Formats: sequence, structure tokens, C-alpha cells
Amino acid sequence: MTDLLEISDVVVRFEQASNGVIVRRPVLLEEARNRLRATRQWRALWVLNTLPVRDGGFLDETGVDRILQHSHLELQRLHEEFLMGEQASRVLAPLVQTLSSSKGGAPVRIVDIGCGPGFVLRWLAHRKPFGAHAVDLVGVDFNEPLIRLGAELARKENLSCSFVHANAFDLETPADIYMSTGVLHHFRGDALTSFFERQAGAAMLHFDIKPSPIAPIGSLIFHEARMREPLARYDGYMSAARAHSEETLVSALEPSQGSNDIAVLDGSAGLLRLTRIMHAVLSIPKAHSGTFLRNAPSLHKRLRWISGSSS
Amino acid sequence: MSGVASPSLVPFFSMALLALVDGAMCGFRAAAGRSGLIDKRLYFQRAIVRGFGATLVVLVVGVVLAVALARVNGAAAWFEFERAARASAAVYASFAGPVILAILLWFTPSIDLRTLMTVTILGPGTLLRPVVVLVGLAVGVHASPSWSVALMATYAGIAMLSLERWLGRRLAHS
Repeated sequence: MTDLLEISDVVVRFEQASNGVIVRRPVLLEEARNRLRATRQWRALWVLNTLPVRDGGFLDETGVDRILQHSHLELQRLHEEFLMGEQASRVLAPLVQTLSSSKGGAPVRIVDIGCGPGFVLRWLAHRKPFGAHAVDLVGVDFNEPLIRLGAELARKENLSCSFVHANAFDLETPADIYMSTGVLHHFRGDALTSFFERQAGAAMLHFDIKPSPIAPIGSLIFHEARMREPLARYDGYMSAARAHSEETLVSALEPSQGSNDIAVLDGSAGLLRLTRIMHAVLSIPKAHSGTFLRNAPSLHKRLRWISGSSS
Repeated sequence: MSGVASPSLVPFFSMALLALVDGAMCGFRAAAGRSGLIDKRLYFQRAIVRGFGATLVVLVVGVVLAVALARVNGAAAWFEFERAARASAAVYASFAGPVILAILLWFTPSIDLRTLMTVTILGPGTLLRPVVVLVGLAVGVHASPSWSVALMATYAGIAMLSLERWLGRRLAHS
């Protein structure tokens, strides 16, 4: 079956050149239309047709960027409502505490992959949930206008975090912890396996919407109620429809995690299913998983270990 | 005027109070999703005050309109308004009760409880609000059918349904 698309996936194109630099390529409206026609996404096509076009039939980059930035601010509102900052910090704080001791006090480097304007990263920089443990918070994205927005917002609030327009896996200093929020479903098939492979050896924490029969309906209600941009409404609904199951995530993750213990957070939430709308995959170097568990007693019931530790 | 019954003010004050709470929340919603800052306390305080203030203006105009209609129709118009306000307030209070409770519970430290309030009440409530506005006004007009009540209901409906959009448009331009 052909994978459905999000509009934001077809209206911008960023590619990595052979010298490692991320380059933006213009997108022909007709080409974007054809991709949505091929998947028979008529509502998406309608939204696409409302986007600004410049000479030569190309989508107007300035106009598209403005819409994407607005959409991400609206998405931030949902992350605020669903307390994504708190959710992430509950795992990251004990994880940083665990890794910090092995680094002799050097900062634990957290890289947020596909961070966009970096809500969670900036939230962490603002709330400082890591106590005395030093952290280096870095947001990375291919989309330069979103990275610029994140950096500008961080500067306005004098937050100690940085934003880099790059490939997260090409950074000079590798991450101790890779994390993401709502990014996993953008990787399909082998790309998901490869995404995890490139983080092998580091710890990782990736949140995404948890698929369920009611997730697309819930997502539809929230995006209709909270979002103004038609693109944001459509893509928000589509994110839930495209979300990976726990089985898909684990089978893509397992082959590359020989040196790590892996677990799923909130995979099965029981009666709390309605409130745990996100699940996450967690991978921790085997040498540290025992200490992590001791540092995170409140997470014991929420974690299902796939390999190692207390599985 | 001893011996002459006068309408109870309770339904009018109830409606005004509900309108002010709703207006403050309109101000909040109009501002939400437009700022990427993490600490938005001041931003939202201003937005809520803006919504509250705009609703105050709407109420003052409503009172002027009601006084004008009462002059045309005589004192009986106040009793018609009272019956309509009582019926409408019952509808709005039954909607506002759970919403206000959910907002209060949103300030508890439990992430699960806060998320539950968002998922079950606050999110769907936003989508339901326009329907509740119209149902409340229809119930009011049904309880006290007259052209002056219908006119007041039309004014209130237009104001309640357009306030958030108007506030949002101002924010988008600023």
C-alpha cells in the first residue's frame, strides 16, 4: 500500500550535498500536486492549491515558510497542552543523571533531531530539570527557517541551547542522547531502521503519537479545535494516521542496538490510554541501564523492556 | 414604585458573569498558538484582559440596546428579558461548569489528570462552543418569544461568535 503523505513533506525539499551542506531545492507546484494525486489525498491537494506560487510554477519559498512557521507555533500549543516538556524531562532527567556520572561532570549532550523551532529543547533550557548536572542542548533540523525561528525564540528568552542547520549525524561532537518528538512517523520502511542505526551506541529517546483506533479521531478533533492553518490541521491529522505501531518501532530499532538495552515507554497504558497519547522508544547503553532504573523509580511501571535490564 | 413587581437581576448578572468568563477565555484562545515563547504568562495575562475588556464593551452596548428596547416596548420587556436570560443562563452554566472545573484541575501537578481534562473537556469543548452559544440563545428565545428578545439574542450571538476571531485578527496584525 502506498504511504500517505503530509503536505509539509511535499512543499519543501532539503537535500544534503556531497560536501555535507544542506541545500534547499525549489519545488514545482505541479510536481507536489502529482505526489498527492498519486496517493489520492484530495483534501491535501485542496490545501496545496491555496499555497503561494512564484514565477515558473514553483512554490513561493517565503510564503510557504511563513505558513510552516505558523503551523509549528500552533503545534507548539498542542505540545504545551499535552505537556511534552514535562513528559520528556521525566525520562531525560534521570538519564542525564545516569550518564553525567560516567562523564566526570562534563556536559551531557542532548541532540534534538528534526527539532523545528525546538519547543521541547527550549522548555528544557527554561525549566532546567537536570539539577546540578551540566547539559549541552542542541537542536538540529534540515529546515533552515524553522531552525532560525527556534534560535530567535531562544535568544529572546536568553535560553542556553543552540540550533544548528545540519544533519544531526554529521555534527562534530556526537550526542550522548538523541531525542525527537513527533518525527519518527516521517521515516518509513528502511529509512526508519537506518535512522536508528545512525544513533547506535548513544542513548536515545524518541516520542511519537501512539497509534490506536481513536487516535486519528482524537487528532482530528484537536487539530480542528486548536489549529488555524489548514496545512497544520491536515498534517496533524495525518501524523496520527501515519504513526508507527510499537511493533514497527521495535523491529526497526532492535537490529542496531546490540550494545544497548531498549524499552518502550507507555506502550500499554491500560486505563490511562486516554491520557498517554504518545509513546516513546528508549535505548540506553547496557552499562548504564541498571543505574538509570535506580534513578527513575517513577518510570518502572511505564517502561516495557524489550531487551536487557529488567525485561 | 412600591407594589409593582420588578424583574430579578440574578439572571442578568449570571449572564454577564458567564459572558465575561467566556470573553476572557476567548482572549486566551485567540492568543494561543501565535507565540513561540516558553514563558507566556505575561502574554496570556494580556490576552485574557483583552478578551475581558472587549466583552465588557459588548455588555455595555447590550445594556444600552436593552434599555432602548424597553423604552419602545414598555416595562414588560424586562420580564421577557429576565425569562430569556434565566433559560439561556441554565444552558451556559451547564457547559461552563465542567469547563471551569477542568481549567482548575489543569493547575494540579498530575500530568495524567491535566491531560485527561484536555482530552475529554477542554479540546472538545472548544469545538462545541459555537453550538452551545446557539442552543443557549434558541432556548432563551423559546422561553420568552418576542421580537425584542430575538433582537437581543441576535446581538449576543453575533458578539459571542465573532469575538475570538476579531481578537485573533487584531493579534495577527499586531
